[in-house]
Amino acid sequence: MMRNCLLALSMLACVSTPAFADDTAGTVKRVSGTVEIERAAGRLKAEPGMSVQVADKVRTGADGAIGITLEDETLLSAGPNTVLDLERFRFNQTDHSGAMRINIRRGKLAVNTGKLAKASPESVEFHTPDSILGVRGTEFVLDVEGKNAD
Amino acid sequence: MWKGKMRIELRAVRAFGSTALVALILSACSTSAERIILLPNEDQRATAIVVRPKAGFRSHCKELVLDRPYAAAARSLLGSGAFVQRTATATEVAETFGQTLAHLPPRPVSFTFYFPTGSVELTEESRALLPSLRQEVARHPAAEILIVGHTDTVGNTTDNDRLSLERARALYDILEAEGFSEIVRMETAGRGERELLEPTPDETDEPRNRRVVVRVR
Repeated sequence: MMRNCLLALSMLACVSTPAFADDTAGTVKRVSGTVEIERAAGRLKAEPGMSVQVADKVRTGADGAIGITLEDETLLSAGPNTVLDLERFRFNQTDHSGAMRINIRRGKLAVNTGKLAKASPESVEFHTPDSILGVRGTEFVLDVEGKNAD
Repeated sequence: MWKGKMRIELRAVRAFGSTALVALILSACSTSAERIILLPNEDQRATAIVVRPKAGFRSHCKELVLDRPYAAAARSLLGSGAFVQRTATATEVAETFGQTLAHLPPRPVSFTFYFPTGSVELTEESRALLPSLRQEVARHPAAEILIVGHTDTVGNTTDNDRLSLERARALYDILEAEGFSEIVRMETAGRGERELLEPTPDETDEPRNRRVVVRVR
């Protein structure tokens, strides 16, 4: 596994400047109030400029809101009392291939889809507790209320 | 026959102790209340959202397509649990999602730079873009710059992928010298001949396609 990662890293270094860490899926652009990002390493207080990684969970407090730009230029924002999982994100800058899957467990989300949705709409999915949203070239908002707290 | 079926159902209801509970189990599509609203988009692209229930829910919870501005799908925890399609209003969106939408990052903006043939110095016209690039960077919170090189259709894909990346790196060096790398994160990529500005047949020498696009996001 480790060797595969290293191989993938060194191959990537040949075709693009590895300015960002390879797990980077996006960047935090705006933050208000309490917003935490949970990953294996622990809980981090969200700050503008921080990188968002695959498998991160974003959790906003009652006064919280956050705006994130993903690597494929998908624009996301979450309102108060929201729990979002960035379950899957891969994007190739050269051929625009990849996949994205975002879970909203509760709260409010606004989305302006990016290059992945344009190049391959079938690879982009937003999941709510009970539904799957497929999107193409789209700006939309959604909210979820229920017992699906985590 | 019908009577017999009725009796069985009634017995089931008694077994559960509550008519409401049985009704909920038989019909529910959801464990949560959800609302999805398609927004009008700025550049008039054709847009749509397809909402489908996850596997395991009953067949009457059908797939819905939202394809007009403010088309909405909503369901509550009460009732059948199926989505109801309706048209939302700008007021509803502003009231419910105003704060959320205010945090949506600004849309990325592009600047296109050209190089004289065989040179890594910018053309005069391209150099004149630098002040507006600086202004745009200032407008974006936690700004990032992605420098993407492009080629024309002369040569094969592999060579053009490499050449397009070399062009992007040349511009990276110029922007670094101008102090951009101190205020933003910069990254380079090559798109080869995949994204022609001027559509041409293969093996066509076209200066407008030999360019580097700086994306500010």
